Amino acid sequence: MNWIVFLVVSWFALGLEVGFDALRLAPGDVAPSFVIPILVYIALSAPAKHALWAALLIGALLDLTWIIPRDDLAEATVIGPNALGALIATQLVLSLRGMVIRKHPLTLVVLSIASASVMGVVVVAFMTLRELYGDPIDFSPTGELGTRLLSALYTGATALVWAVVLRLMEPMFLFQHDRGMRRH
Amino acid sequence: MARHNHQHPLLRYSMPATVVLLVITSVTPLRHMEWIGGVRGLVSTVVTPISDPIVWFSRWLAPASRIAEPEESTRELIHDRDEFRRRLNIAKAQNTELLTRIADLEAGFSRAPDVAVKQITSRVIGMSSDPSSGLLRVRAGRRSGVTQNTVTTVRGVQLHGQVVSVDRLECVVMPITEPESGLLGGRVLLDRAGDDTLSCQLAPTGTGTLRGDVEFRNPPAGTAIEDAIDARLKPGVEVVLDDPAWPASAQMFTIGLIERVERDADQPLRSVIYVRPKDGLDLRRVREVVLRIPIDDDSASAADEPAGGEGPE
Repeated sequence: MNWIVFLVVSWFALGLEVGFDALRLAPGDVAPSFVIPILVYIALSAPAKHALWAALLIGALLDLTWIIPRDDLAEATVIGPNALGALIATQLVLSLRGMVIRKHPLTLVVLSIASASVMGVVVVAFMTLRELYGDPIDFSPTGELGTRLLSALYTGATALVWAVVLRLMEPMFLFQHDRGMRRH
Repeated sequence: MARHNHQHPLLRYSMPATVVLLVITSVTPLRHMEWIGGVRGLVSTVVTPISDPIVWFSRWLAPASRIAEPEESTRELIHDRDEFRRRLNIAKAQNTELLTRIADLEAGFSRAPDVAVKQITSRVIGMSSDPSSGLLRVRAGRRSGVTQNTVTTVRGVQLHGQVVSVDRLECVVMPITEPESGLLGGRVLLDRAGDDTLSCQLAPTGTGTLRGDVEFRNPPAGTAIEDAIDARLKPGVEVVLDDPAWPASAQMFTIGLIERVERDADQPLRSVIYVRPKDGLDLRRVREVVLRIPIDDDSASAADEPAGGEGPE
């Protein structure tokens, strides 16, 4: 896998994630993710170890751009929940990729929805745990879970667009070379 | 499988070690995680070149308000009108306070008539990656004199929010409509001149509005309760900030206009109001904000340094 191309695409997707809110549905804060389809695409195409490291990197970047409002008129950053969520979501895709048609656009759509849902559940679980021991964050687990699951569904829309773009970019990722290697 | 056994231990255990580390940081209390702010600043600097133009494009596609901005000259006149009205309200509020103090034979009036501020217009360069967080990243930081609790406004006298953290080149702003921003003390202007007002406490609803109780004055003895209910409390009436917990540079700025009034059948002297920022502004989606930085002796030197924003107004 060409890591430079991956980093450039992830950088662009992260810029969209933190800058493009025109698709956000208000009220409810339901918004699609631009990064998760990249994660799923890598998990579908790259060797497992590369995919897992890429997931950790993307998840950590999502954590570092997540500004969490605190109860005491301040903000905080937590590194871990998105990274671990991305790791588990990638593991899910890795276990399913033998059973799907990798190049079909709907594969990316469906797996992006599933991965975003898994990430949402993991993030909500960690943040709920934090609230239990009294961290000064205002977090409503039920509301957040609902929002994240709806956002996961909405991510299907961006995944469809990414499916076309990534298909065109596929030669740049140099996955053909990886295909000859053993996957483990 | 044999190949794995020959891997360097550092490589073999790097993934599990990273996962364990992430689990630890995921559950570590926030007070021990403040060091991450520096790393976040670095990531933010890397992401900004792509997020900044995307924010601009996004705001062009979906602006904060569907009401078009007027011409430059009209906008200046509207701004001046609103600013003078705000100053008038401040003067009136101070006058009332002075009269009260004189009446109470209090001495030592020391409150400054107004607070000198430097205004910097700065672009919003990004949001949080999580859509449920409404905090905004703004391109002005310590270098421009911004400090924690610096007040932000938009479109003249519309109060926008408060800076909750500040780096050298950028800061994070929490709009007043975010649930975490807490209660706001307000004053409902029952007439345009601001002579007759009612106090209220407003709490953000999380949907871009604020909700709060307004209590009418107790009617004089022998007067029906219905007569005490002021019919002027209706949609469209302006609500301004009057909260000692906020900096002086924010007082009497507009919180918004009343969108809805609900009467309480059980408590006729109390009504619930819903307030929305002027022009239906969505404070999360503004393109730029005005930072009002108080000028005092301590910050004078910082103000002399080159500003990081688009320049003072």
